[in-house]
Amino acid sequence: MKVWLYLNGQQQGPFNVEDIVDIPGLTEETLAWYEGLPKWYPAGTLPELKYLFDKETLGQPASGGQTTTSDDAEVGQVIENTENAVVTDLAEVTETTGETEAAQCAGTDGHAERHTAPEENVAEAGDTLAEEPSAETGDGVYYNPAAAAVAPRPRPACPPSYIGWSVFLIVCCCSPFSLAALIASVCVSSFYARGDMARARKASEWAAWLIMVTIALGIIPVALMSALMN
Amino acid sequence: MTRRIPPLLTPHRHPSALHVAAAVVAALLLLGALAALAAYYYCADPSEGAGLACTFKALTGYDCPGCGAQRALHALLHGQPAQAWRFNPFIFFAVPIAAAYIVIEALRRRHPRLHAAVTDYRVTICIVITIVAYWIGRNL
Repeated sequence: MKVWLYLNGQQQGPFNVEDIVDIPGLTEETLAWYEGLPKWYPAGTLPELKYLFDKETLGQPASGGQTTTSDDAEVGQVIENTENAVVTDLAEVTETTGETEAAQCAGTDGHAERHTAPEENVAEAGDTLAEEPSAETGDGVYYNPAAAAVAPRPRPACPPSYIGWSVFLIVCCCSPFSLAALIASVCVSSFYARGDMARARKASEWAAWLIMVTIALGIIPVALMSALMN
Repeated sequence: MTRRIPPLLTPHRHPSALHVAAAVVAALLLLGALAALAAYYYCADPSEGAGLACTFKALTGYDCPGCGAQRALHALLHGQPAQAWRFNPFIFFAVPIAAAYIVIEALRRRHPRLHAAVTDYRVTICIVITIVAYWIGRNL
């Protein structure tokens, strides 16, 4: 299977699917396209590429042997997951590009597609799996688990740790909350280093909340009090 | 098989006018806030009770890592860096580093490598240790 990627501001490809693990700068959010997709999607949301970013399935491709006998329940699960992932990731993409054009684009044409597309993808993935060496790929290029296990894997990006804010708040309004925020910020990078993405995300949320609490309870009342006293 | 590759989701080349306007307004607001803050700390002398009182110092009597920052800012604005250093040497490192971290985290999708390097857990733990060490050290 050939994959096209949107890297460093330009469309690149075609790549063989087993080669793209080696591409520097490839993350979950990198936009990718392969034959059969209606448009570009973040690589982490595509069933054929998802395994590159899954910590649990490291070494086991998502399109491994056991999934050829896809139960309905399993497929339903996959559809649900990819659907959620696509929606959130698309939201993130439009948010980061910050382009009103992008927002409009997602609002008008993306809406219907966004919900139907992942199901199509999954169905198609199932199809290609069923007909083994795949007449569609033609050149006999197929995923090789042995090669991928050796190849270095790109990891999902670290969630924001907000450590800059935490340090700044320690200096400008020291309170138990800012110290807690600093600890939460460090926890983000520590959990991420251990590969525990769920806890890293949780710590990131905690850090964000603690920073807001520090500002709300630390700076504003103190400023008011100082203004009244003087 | 030979279907055309669809255009990218966001094939933008130029930022829209609205986007640019929003960025300009945000930048002006930020500059205005900084100017107001600088004007306040230029006029008011925290050594004589202006500015914010430190909660930690009020509760415990000990200095926090940020104690002296307002006096240092006042001194800096009056062109006395040596005096500012005596009030609080720590902010000379902490504030630029914190600002750098905020910018790098804001750009983390554009520069994932840089972000990964500076938010490495060993680096962040060193930052915490430095802060706590300074906190304890200045109260000895």
